[in-house]
Amino acid sequence: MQEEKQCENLTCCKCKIKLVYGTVEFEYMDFTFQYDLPRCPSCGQIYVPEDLAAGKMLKVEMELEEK
Amino acid sequence: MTNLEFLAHVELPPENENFTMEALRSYQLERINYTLQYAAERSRFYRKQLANVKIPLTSLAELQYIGMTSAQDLTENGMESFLCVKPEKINRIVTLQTSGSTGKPKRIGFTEKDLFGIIHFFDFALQDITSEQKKILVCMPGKRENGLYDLLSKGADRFDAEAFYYGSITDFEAAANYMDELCPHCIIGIPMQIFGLAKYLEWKGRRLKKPVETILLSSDILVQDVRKKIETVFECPVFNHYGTTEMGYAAALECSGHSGMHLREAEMFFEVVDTRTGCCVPCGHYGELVFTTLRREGMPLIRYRTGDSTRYIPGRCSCGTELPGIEAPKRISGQSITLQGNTITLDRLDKAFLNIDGLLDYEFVFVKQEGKEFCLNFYVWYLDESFANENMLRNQLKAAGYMDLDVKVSFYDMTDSGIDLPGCRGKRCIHEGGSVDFQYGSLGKCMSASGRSKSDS
Repeated sequence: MQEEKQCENLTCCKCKIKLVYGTVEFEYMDFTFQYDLPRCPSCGQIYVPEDLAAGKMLKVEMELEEK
Repeated sequence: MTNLEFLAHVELPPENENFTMEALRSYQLERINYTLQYAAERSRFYRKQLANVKIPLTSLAELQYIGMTSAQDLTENGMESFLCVKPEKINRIVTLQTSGSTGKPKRIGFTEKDLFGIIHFFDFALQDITSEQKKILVCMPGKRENGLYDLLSKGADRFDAEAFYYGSITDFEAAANYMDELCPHCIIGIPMQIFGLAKYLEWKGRRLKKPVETILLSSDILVQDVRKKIETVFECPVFNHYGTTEMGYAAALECSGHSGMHLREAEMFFEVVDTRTGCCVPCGHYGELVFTTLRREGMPLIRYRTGDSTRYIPGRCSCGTELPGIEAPKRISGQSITLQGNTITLDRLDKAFLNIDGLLDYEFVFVKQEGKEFCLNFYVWYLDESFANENMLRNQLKAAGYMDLDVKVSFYDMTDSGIDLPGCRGKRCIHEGGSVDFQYGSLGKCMSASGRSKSDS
């Protein structure tokens, strides 16, 4: 089994454990995307960095938001 | 009572047994006051914009003194500043790419309730042009959930009609074959695409197996010659529709009197205003169409400038409704341009060229080339190369009054370009600004209009 890389500077505020990088699946407007993001190994909560949310993700969203 | 009138009537308080304009206006004032209060409390943008407005208004006339909202306000402040609900309540967002200098897109958000309002309107509006058990073929792009086709289809379902998706027409033969297979009673399409299809059918001497009963055209200006050709070839009445995404796709529908359009008065309050002062112009005078949403939950818009010009048509409409009629709106900008000493207007170009046999669409592209004078490229799309006649086009240009216009003519027929016509890429207008170097392949990306000239000045 591949060892999950720990994210040193991010801790889950609920479970108080370090987040680890893992593949996360996003679904929007009938499309799915995969991206490696920090997530809590216990509760599964993911962390989306602001630059990703307001950058690449927003761009993809807008591309899909046609009439 | 027409369906649009009925739709406005059902929103009125129950004591209004009969529909009257007085009752409608009173309902609109009440909804405007509700919207002003709602937006001022919940939207970041309107909290500021309405800070000095005394709410409630005591008459509809007072609305004209409130500041207008522009497309630029939307792009600069972003959708989030306009939202009156939590983002998770937004069920569908539509992003519109803009041609402005900032290049920022416009995003419009709708809640489930807002989408239901659109479906409700489509239900009634479609019943004005077709009826139950009928097949409606939608020849417009966009099949995503809660997109235009999906909402039309849900509206049609409600009165037991059925909508079918075809999308943009990119092959006339294939579209005609599909129509022969489906035998739709009603077609909803984009004017220049249905115009192209009409010319194609005429050229081939072909008639649809089962005649279409009505055609609804939307998303672009409907030029008179385009309408005539479609009516003649399909032998059915054509209805024009006007709406923008900001309005929730739909705003006005041509009635059976075919002398104007009636507005979606239960959902929006419309004003025709002087573009400089923002104040209403007298009935019959041209001005910019501005609207205020009356029931929008997610992202209400107050005095939103459409950038389109129209006028109220004085007198009562021949269809019998009490609802006032407007002329089909046109873009305010992009109707004319001065080049090489000539003022070129879109109307004159359309009159000069659209009636030419086999001609599907045309495009003027104005390019300032380094070390050279301006160059005006004239691209013409034909059904077949046998129609291409440069001398005739030049004569038409002269006959339209553009004697001195130096143009370089290029022809495309369907085999060159498919039917990726300029008129199918956006609204017909003369577009100024844009790319500097001419490259045909890049046109579709940097421009989105037909019958236009482009300058880099």
